[in-house]
Amino acid sequence: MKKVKITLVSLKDPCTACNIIFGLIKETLEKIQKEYSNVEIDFVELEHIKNASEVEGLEVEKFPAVLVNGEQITAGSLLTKQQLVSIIEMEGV
Amino acid sequence: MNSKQLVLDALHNKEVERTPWVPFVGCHAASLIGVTAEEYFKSSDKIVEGVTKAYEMYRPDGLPVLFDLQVEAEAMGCQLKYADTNPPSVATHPLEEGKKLEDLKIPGENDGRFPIVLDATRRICKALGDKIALYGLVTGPFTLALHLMGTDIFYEMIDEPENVHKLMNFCKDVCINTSKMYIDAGVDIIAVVDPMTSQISPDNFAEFVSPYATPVFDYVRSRGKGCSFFVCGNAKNNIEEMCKCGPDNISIDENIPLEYVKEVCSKYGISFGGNIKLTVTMLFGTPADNIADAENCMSIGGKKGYILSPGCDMPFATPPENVKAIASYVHGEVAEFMQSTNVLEGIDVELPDYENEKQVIIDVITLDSESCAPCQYMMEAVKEACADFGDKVVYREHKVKFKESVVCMLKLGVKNIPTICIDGEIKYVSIIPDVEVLKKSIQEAVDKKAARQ
Repeated sequence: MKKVKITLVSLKDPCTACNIIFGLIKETLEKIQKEYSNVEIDFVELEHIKNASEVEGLEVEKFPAVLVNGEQITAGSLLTKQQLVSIIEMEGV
Repeated sequence: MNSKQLVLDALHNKEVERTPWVPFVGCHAASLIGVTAEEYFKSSDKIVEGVTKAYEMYRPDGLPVLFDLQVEAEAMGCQLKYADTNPPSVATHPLEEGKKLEDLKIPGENDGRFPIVLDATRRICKALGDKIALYGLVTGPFTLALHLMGTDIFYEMIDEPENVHKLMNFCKDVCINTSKMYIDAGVDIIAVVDPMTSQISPDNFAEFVSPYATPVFDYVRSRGKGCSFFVCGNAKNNIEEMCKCGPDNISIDENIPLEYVKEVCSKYGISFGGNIKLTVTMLFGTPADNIADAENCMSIGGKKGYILSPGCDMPFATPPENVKAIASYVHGEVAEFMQSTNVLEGIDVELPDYENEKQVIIDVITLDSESCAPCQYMMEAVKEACADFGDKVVYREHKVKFKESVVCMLKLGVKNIPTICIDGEIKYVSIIPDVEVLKKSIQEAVDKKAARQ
């Protein structure tokens, strides 16, 4: 399977809701990484919203944001394991 | 009217003399007293000190005693990961790790951090309870269920909905008991904070959340206290369902237009609050940005059934000057605030000798009519009203984002923005006059000047 790079972008100072969503996505990603050896995960913490432009592929500045192979797939919303697995299996072919 | 009554009246959808201001100070209070978020959330002394500091610095009409949506989860066996600058996050979900729902018990006063939280609540209520409205924040039933079950809850909602209903019913009982503990400790308002409902559809909300959130509000009301339903994230589609649960108030963040929430809530006779932008404005903006955001919110919210607040709990590193700037706007002391920050040193502006000038001079003090809607409407009214007077009248906009304008504002004695002054006299404060009314005022000034000359 081809390598799939997942980037989870968050703000250094999130609000409570964003913090909960970030924790759940991070947890799901870590579980997935144990099952899929082709998955590489990158956590990016932005000090300032101005730095968002430094993340290639980040278009919607709502956090946490998930990018798969440089393409943003979520902005501030939760992803389930099943949704992530489908994306990984599609991208990894 | 004191601050507490102001909040309670607005919460119960009544007309108030001034918009009440409730900054959601959570982990940010830790930064105010120079400790980490972890130290803060684990110490009743620190919580009391932090909330007291926020009360002194931000002159609020209400405050939450704590903003931590992990207290109940921790008391039921979820392990937490504490952080220096954020609220703790849930690291484990008991129901995902083999525990059964029957194994969980409703947390009481001695479980988890509740002894700390309730001790702090009692002390804060004793010290500030007669001055401001104090909110007890309860983790909403869906967010709590997500803490206990993890993201599997989304599959269970489809595959095993009965399991989710059982879990939600248990979480409802936890919410009611937590509300009871906070009410017994002295709070005025219970806020059911359920941000994770932003992740589900209105149909799922109606099926899985409404039957369990509604009894919580019924309970709070039966105790004679106010109740609010907080949501964060893009929950626009669920606002109507939230209203149907019967809270007194709904509070939202910047993901939902305040105009929309006002429209929906007014249909149900429910008050609403929000939605100063947390990141762009409060965390990274300037004091002027914060004043502008608060002004926009207040112009939409009006004085009936609206509470000015941030969209969610304020980030740890929110600059205090930004929050103070909002407070200054709420209390009609923007110019004094700008003066107190020493940014006006060395700036002087000479006002015209209004009486002896040939033209009537209209000074309009705004934030900036290009970016602030009420300021824009006020400027448009002035332009239209002045059009018929030719060179007898001249108007000038003073944008308080410029220091010279603030000095001018101070010299004119203007407290609120936007304000119209005619020949140095304050005429219209935060009210956009009807063009005909404004023309009449201008005509009077023109006649007065003509009679003198």
